[in-house]
Amino acid sequence: MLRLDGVSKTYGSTRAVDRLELEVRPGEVLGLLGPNGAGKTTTIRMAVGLLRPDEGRVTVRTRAGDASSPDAHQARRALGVAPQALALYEELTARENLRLFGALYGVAARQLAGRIDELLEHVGLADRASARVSTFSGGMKRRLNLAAAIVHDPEIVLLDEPTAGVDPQSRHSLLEMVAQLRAKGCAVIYTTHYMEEAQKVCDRVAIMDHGRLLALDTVDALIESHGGESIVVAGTADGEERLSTDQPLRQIEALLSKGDLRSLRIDRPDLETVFLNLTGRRLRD
Amino acid sequence: MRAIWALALKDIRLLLRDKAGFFFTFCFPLVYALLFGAMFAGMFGGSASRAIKLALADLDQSDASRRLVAAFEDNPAVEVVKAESGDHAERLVKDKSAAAGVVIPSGYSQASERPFSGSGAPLRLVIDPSRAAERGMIEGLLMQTAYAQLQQSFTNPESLQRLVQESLGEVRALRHTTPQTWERYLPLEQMLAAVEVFAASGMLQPEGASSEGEDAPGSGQDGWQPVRVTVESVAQGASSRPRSSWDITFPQGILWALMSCSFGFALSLVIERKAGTLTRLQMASAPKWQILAGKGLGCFLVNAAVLALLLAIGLGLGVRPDSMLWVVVAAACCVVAFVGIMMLLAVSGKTEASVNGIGWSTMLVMAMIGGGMMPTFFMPGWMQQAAVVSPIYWGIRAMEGAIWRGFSPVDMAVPCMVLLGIGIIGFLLGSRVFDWRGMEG
Repeated sequence: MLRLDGVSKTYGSTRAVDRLELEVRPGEVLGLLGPNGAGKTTTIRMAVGLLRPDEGRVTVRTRAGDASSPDAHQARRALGVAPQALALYEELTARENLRLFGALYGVAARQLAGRIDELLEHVGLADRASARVSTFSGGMKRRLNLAAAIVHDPEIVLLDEPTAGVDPQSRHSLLEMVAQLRAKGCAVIYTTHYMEEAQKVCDRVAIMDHGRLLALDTVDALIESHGGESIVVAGTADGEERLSTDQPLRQIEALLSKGDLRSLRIDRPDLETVFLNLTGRRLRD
Repeated sequence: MRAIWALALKDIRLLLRDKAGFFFTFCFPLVYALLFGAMFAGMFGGSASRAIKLALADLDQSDASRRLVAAFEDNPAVEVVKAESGDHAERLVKDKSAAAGVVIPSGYSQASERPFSGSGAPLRLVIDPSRAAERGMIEGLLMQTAYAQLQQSFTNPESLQRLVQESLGEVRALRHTTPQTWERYLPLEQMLAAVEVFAASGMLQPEGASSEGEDAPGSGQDGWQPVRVTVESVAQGASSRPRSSWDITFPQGILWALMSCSFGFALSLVIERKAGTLTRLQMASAPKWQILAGKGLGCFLVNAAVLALLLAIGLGLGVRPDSMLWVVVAAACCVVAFVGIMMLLAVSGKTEASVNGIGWSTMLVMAMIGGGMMPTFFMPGWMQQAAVVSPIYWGIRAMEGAIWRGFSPVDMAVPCMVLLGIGIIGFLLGSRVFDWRGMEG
């Protein structure tokens, strides 16, 4: 379990993260949703102990029951991080990269070979295990990036924009891997600015902007509380009519009773709407 | 330790896969050493064609000893270096300023005036045991000079008469010893008496009128010699001159290799910081000290490998170190120094381009003044003094000390300690100021 208690970080006059409260539990995927510059990466760096918060505290509690700050040795071993920048050695092979990170995490040499084979198979790179990373596509590198983060079988995994710039096939593969990590009981923090991804894989979503946590809940609850009304779009002989309502079924019933209805659809609010309602601007602005 | 080893192995792999880096680390220094070695060929070697440097200490300060010194000075095969004492002559041989030393002890004059009594005039010859070929030549020269002096004495009627009378007096004094002893010396007494009569007859030509070029010294003189040479070896084993141009250019090539290799490692640190892999290594449970130790170990191992390769090629080309042990010590110290320099280069700029610019220009100046481009003894005096600020100077000095300067342990200690100091201080300082920030926020 990873917990951030009122953590803040300031760079010069910019408040990158402001009194953030978060907790991710075993078997849970917590989405960190926000535009570029929202403070997601700073949050990740504080969560893994690369940055010391100006205020507040970060606690890593392992399955063994040890609670410590993330820069403690046992906490580091419990954490796995896939950074947004593809931090891989391009002139090393996929296997050599995984062997290096496995050795740094202290995985025993005997276990490591088997673990690397398993992971390469898992991320669809078994046939390219001996190829240099510089020959890989962006999607393949992202998959290897994730494999390197979990080579030591961590309890808590932090994925910083893991699908940035990848093809749909690799994206699908990566999202499946996240689901598998959750099924294994890992606590996952998943930062993204793709709301559909967050909606698909996250159990709970934290919406951040300008370093502040605007909302934190399940996707349905967020939509319920911040999404606003559904919109019933009715096509008639006179054109398209958009009706905002919190009871779309009753509205449809009323429209049907009037007759002359050529098309009908309900636009339900999504995380994009939630973000728009919370911040007054769109996620990708 | 496993983590440090894994990090070092990673860097070695990366270097081996970088074709340009590999060339500048392994091939360029070799090209440098071979190219400059060929250019300098003949400048340093071939001492056989030169006069033998002989340190001469005249402790007798007599006419006879001065004549001996003058005879050496007139000999074109010898270049005399005046020594003030026996110890001084020994030092000159020890530090390779002379191929051998000749000490004319006090009492030489008296002994030389009585060549037929005692065991000949004493001379002390100090030699370098590693120069066996020259030893025979120098002993021959001593005899030749001594015989020439004796011959002069015999052709001068006055000195011959004096010499014979003194010798007769000493031989006749033996009458009072045992009859057996007198019996042994009797033929000599009779010969000297005949010579005395001959010298007094006035038939002998004055000095200068004798025939020249006769009587090769030593021929037919077995059992008796005009001088008694005591040979002493100094505990050294090298020539103070480089035996060939490779002796000069291989240490330079080695230093270029170390520079190039360390520079590559310094750049790799900057590149890794920019690429985010350093941050990732930190995330992967590796403390900062471990990451830098891994980098340092990688740099050390590659430097050592390059150095071993160049030395092996140098040995193949005829570089014959005075002491392999000192070569290993000097090499290790050079490698340590350049690990420290690698860290300092890594912090010399923020970006790859700035480290490239600042680093290379600094190293080039250091190489220039430190003797990495041309030997320091070609430089003006002030520049030779300024060279001590360059680590290249100390590296070359240590390597040359081990290869051909014949440094003693005390001599070697100075450059080695300086190199170790540069290595340790450079690494600690560089590690302390290294900027770890690199990942996007």
